[in-house]
Amino acid sequence: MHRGWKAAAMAVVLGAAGTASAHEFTCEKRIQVKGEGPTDEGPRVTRFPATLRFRYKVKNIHPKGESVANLVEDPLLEPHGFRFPFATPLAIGVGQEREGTFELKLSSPEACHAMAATDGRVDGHFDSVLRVKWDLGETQCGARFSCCEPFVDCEMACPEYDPDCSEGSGNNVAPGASRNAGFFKVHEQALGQCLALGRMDLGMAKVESLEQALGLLWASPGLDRHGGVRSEADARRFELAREALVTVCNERLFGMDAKRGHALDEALRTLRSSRNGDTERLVTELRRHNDAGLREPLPQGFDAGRATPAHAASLAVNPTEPGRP
Amino acid sequence: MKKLMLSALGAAVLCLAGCGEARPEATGPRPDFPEDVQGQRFELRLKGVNNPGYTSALVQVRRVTVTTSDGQALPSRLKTRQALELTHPEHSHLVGRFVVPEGVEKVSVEVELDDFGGYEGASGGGVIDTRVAPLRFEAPVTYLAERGHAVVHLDLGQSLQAQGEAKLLLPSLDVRY
Repeated sequence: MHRGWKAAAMAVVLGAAGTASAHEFTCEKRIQVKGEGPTDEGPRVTRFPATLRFRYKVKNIHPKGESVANLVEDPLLEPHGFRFPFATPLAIGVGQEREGTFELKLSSPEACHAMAATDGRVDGHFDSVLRVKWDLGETQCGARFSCCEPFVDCEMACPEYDPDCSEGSGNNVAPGASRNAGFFKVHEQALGQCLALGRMDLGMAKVESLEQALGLLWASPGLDRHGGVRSEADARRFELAREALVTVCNERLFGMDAKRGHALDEALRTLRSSRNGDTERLVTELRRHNDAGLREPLPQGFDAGRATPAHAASLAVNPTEPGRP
Repeated sequence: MKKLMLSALGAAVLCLAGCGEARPEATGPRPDFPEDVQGQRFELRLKGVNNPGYTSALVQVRRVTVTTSDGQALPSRLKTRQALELTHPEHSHLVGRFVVPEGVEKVSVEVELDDFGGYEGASGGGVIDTRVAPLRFEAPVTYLAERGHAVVHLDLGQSLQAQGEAKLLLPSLDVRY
């Protein structure tokens, strides 16, 4: 079969469907805490009650023609009263734009964290998008605001999703420098220094080389080494093994800590047993420890090397997974 | 009748257009879905656009979920295990496949990214923090049937926002069919 037939079939489908896009939009969404200036790392709400101001811009970037938006929405903010101020369908001329604003009041840190939990990811950040829908497509632009961290920059009751939070003067995690999985994924030199201090038995994965460590860090938890879909339980165990690897490296390279070591011991016991245990809690706990010292400088004399993600990803090989082909 | 023809031809184009990535199930290692799963089969793809000069921008997908408007899960299959390089302008990565039964007019697609990726450019490299809410959009089945897929165009210039030495991925994207 035959190129002529293929081309003809393609032409029929595409021709019948019509031209893909005479519409071209960009959008912009900005958030600012009222009374505070813009920040490089996005707004962080630390004082309450707080008012957040959202600014939206929808622009037609088609070079020659009008673009028509059939619907403009911000789904996560609609329950809080957001409505785009222009009726749809909205025709915007060449090079023109429409703007709108929306204000959201947050009464307390608890209200901020409750809102942050509605975006589909359990953390202290609220990620939302403006959607501009047009014929045969849509444009989205996202923005984030962050809630204060309990007992770090605001006083609040512990959020439900954080079982490790304890009320009080809480420094609940290891002091001192630490780095997370992202750091070790892209800094081969640092990871290599960790592996030079010995292999790791992570139960469901045995890591004996830099390449295998990169394999554990760069593989998606969702699929196994053969491309088969992992169950949610298996994906969680994979994530736990990954976080445990990072914690081991933090302990080896940047100093040991009793609280972090205790969490690591529990994680390794779980990984080396056939029981799943409370893997989700353990993943969260290890992540918290691995993130805790991100702002601390690395020990003097420690050379992490340059960040080389493309090369690091190219080196990755699957670690040995006992009991699996 | 025209819609059915379009759907059938769309399914044919699905393979014609993407055969380099989408191997026919008959010759692949194992089928994506059991044989008794009925419905139209579509692909979800991801590509990077508007690259401001990155030599590498790697992200990973953890999960793809497709549901009907009232939340019923539809058969879907993650198809990518490795990091996706988004700096190749003509490359549209196969992320997942899903099946939509007859009678469903619109689906909700959710793409959950893994925690971290990486970037490199002339001024250095670092982590892409992808610990963000899932990418979400709704796709009318008539749109999907045009070419058998939805393609997420991730704007690298707008989406990667500086956060110290890292970049936070707050998506600016188009969904095209």
